[in-house]
Amino acid sequence: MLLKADTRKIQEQFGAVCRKQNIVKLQLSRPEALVHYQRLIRNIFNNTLITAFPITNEWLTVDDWQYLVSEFMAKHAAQTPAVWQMPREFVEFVTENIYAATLNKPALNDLLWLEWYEIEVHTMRDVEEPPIMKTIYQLNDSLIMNPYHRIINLTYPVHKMHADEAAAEPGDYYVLTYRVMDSGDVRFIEISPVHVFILQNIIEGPQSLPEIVPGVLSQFNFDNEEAIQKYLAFFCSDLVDKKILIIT
Amino acid sequence: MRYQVGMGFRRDFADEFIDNEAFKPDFIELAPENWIGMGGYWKKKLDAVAGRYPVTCHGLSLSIGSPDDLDWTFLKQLKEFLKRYNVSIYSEHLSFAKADNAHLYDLLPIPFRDDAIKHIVKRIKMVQDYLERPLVLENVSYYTSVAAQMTEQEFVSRVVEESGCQLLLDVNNVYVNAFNHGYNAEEFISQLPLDKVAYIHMAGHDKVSDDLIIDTHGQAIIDPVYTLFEYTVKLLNKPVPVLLERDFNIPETQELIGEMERLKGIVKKIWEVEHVIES
Repeated sequence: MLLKADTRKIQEQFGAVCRKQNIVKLQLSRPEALVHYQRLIRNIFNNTLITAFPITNEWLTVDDWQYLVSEFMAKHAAQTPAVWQMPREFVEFVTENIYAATLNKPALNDLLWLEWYEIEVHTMRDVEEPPIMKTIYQLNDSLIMNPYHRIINLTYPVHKMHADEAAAEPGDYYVLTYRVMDSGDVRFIEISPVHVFILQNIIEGPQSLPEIVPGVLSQFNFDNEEAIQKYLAFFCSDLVDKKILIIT
Repeated sequence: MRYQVGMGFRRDFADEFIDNEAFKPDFIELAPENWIGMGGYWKKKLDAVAGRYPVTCHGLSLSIGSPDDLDWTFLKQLKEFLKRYNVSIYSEHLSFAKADNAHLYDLLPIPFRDDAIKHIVKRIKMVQDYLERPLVLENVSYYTSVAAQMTEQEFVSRVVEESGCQLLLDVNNVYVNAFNHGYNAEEFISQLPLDKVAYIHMAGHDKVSDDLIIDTHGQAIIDPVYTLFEYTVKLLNKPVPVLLERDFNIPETQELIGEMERLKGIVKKIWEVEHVIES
């Protein structure tokens, strides 16, 4: 090792003091300048997280927000070299360490994940997009998914109401988040477990609705095949119009 | 183009680079970390601007002075990115941004020490070998030195000379450091290995107290920094690209155009004369 142990230790201490925002005696030419490093680094974390989670930031009290930022900086070693991806680590940290319970904010995790997935879908790496050969859906068409999407399972309906109100309505909610292929905008649609079943089948490989419907009937104990198929055909047609489903 | 003055590409005013015909820097500079792995709307913007301008890259997270190991996964992505966008210059900071396995996303001062130099020189060579291009390292602004055993000037010069890397001379940083640490900026510059200067940065700063300037890139360049820039340009034996950095408090585009024109006027005046004398 070319770097001596004491130099390494000095650098690690300097970094730790900036992360933990505490006071430690270091060998500095201008000790009073340390607070500027602490302030600058905290601003980078805080501003990046506010940009990523504007709704959560608006919802939480200033004290609760600052507490989470402090905890994250002090207790989590950020791994990504890309600062714009650091907010994902924040969501994981908050979720794993059960801060929703600490702050008595049951919907905290769901709101953070919802906001993060909007960024994730917006910035997903470009892939070769399937050509859109046909835009009018017919029942026997084989379907594939727009590659830029996430199906999110929420316990609280934070996608359609204030997080405090959502906390009073726990359940099993699904939100399809997708990127509009032309504009790059991200949109959300609330979907049902049956829709999730349909989409998961399509994600596994190109399939037509009639190929999936028998599985829907057995999975959800439905017996009116004709009515179910008609209902789901309307759903598929709507998603084809939105270019979420693509006819192969 | 002999006298190149570029501008840092930022999302805050990305459309100006693409749509404003009056705003035509000679090249753009961007931080690869902010774009690697990104698709969608911003990838389209990046492709549009890269199709219009030559691109240089100025990294943030290499952390060449870190006590931690180099991040080879990141370097692989970086190498692909530099190739994809035909990047002419890849520069980084002579600082560290990661310690104890934690990224800090800011530029921390390396202890000016002999063992740190040896450590960094080895890492520079590894990075240069892997990227198959010279690394261009910037003298950073710093607000306190940390357990220093030599001067900043000796530290920077030795890293450059012993590693064979090139120097990104940030003139504003020299001004800021000279003010904050009480040394003579011109003397500092004159003692650097100026034959290794491959790139110059210019920016504004904020004076936060009577004895402290913070390098914010959030204000226009002040006259004393232009003066120091002119002094520097006169000492260089060849033209190098010059970049205007503006990261915050973005003004009207006309103001940025004015700053770029002023920089170009200085380099043209000096380097054109040099060129005539040489020939």
